Amino acid sequence: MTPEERLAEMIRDCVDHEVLDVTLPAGFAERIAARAHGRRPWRSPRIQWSIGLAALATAAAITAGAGLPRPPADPPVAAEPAAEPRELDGRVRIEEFPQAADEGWVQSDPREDRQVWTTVRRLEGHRHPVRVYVFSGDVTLGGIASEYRDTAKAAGWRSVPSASRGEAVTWTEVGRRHVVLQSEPGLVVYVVTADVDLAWSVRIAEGVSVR
Amino acid sequence: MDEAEADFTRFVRERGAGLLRFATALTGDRYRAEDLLQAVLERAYSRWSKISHRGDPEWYVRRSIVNAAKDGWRGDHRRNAVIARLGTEDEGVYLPFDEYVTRDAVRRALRGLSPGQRTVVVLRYWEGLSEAETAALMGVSVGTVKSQAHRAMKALRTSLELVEEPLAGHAGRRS
Repeated sequence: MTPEERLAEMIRDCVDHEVLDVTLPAGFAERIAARAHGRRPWRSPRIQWSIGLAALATAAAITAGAGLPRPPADPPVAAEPAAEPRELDGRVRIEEFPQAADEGWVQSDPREDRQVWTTVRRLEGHRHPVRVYVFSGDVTLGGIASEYRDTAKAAGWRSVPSASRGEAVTWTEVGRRHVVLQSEPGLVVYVVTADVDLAWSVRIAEGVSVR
Repeated sequence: MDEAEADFTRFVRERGAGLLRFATALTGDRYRAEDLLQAVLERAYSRWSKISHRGDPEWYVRRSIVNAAKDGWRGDHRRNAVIARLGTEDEGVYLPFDEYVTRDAVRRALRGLSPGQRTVVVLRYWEGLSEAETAALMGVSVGTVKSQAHRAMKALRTSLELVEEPLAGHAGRRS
């Protein structure tokens, strides 16, 4: 590695760390819309009119002795419920992780709707550390991948790559290999390697399990 | 909620976290980045129908973030001053000592760059953009990107070397 490459690696590592825990505050979109609109969010005049008309209709029906109008039955909901965050700290096992010459650090990062388990290890014979992130909770492969700018860039910033359960999204950027794998709903594994081949990187991601 | 408002909200929910990371990388300050992103999105919101019909709203927003960051957008000075007193963001996070020292030195060096230089460095070395892509996003020439990157890397090398000297001198005085 040349001094220039080493400096670039240090910059990437520093900025990676700076943005690692950055998440969007709750209600950010609504706050912007409300500020830009100069009114309370999601209370459009059209909705207020509809609420007023519904109240008038209800009052008229009660006055006429017809009782409360029965609301129409809700259509069946097909969406799956959000996955609850799983306890990750101390429960993550990496089956395919080869003999580690230098163990790094482990950090549990509980959040409102997900947990992130992080480890960095240096493989024997490899100069670069292997970074493993495990996300648990209301997360999807596309969602996690889109949070990392590399995937967005690989897709030309235009779309998030889609992948089904069990599939992986992989890409290479400036010598670093990235693998994002959804092993099960609500559990996403993200592995970053440098001088490790793609097959091994994928095996490491596939070898992550939560006891 | 009209169609544009719904589309805007969906966009921010889906892409907002990535955009906030991007703004944080460019500014080096997550709170300033949040204010910057909010200001950019508020401006975009008022023209959202037009922006989204062009077909690439994210590119537009990213470019707006870059323009704001490279010009040294500061946001609310009072808020930043208060946040600065709260301590470093690494408090409570345990890292190997050498990793922490290296990262801290690089962070300080990056903060010593001008906003334009930091923008070039982040786009080139963190985002992995080519010189041409960086120039397009910043709205400058490729030559400007080259010269900014050259000066920034030189400054970083100098700054990181300067960090090591006082440490060595300090150790010598103690022994």
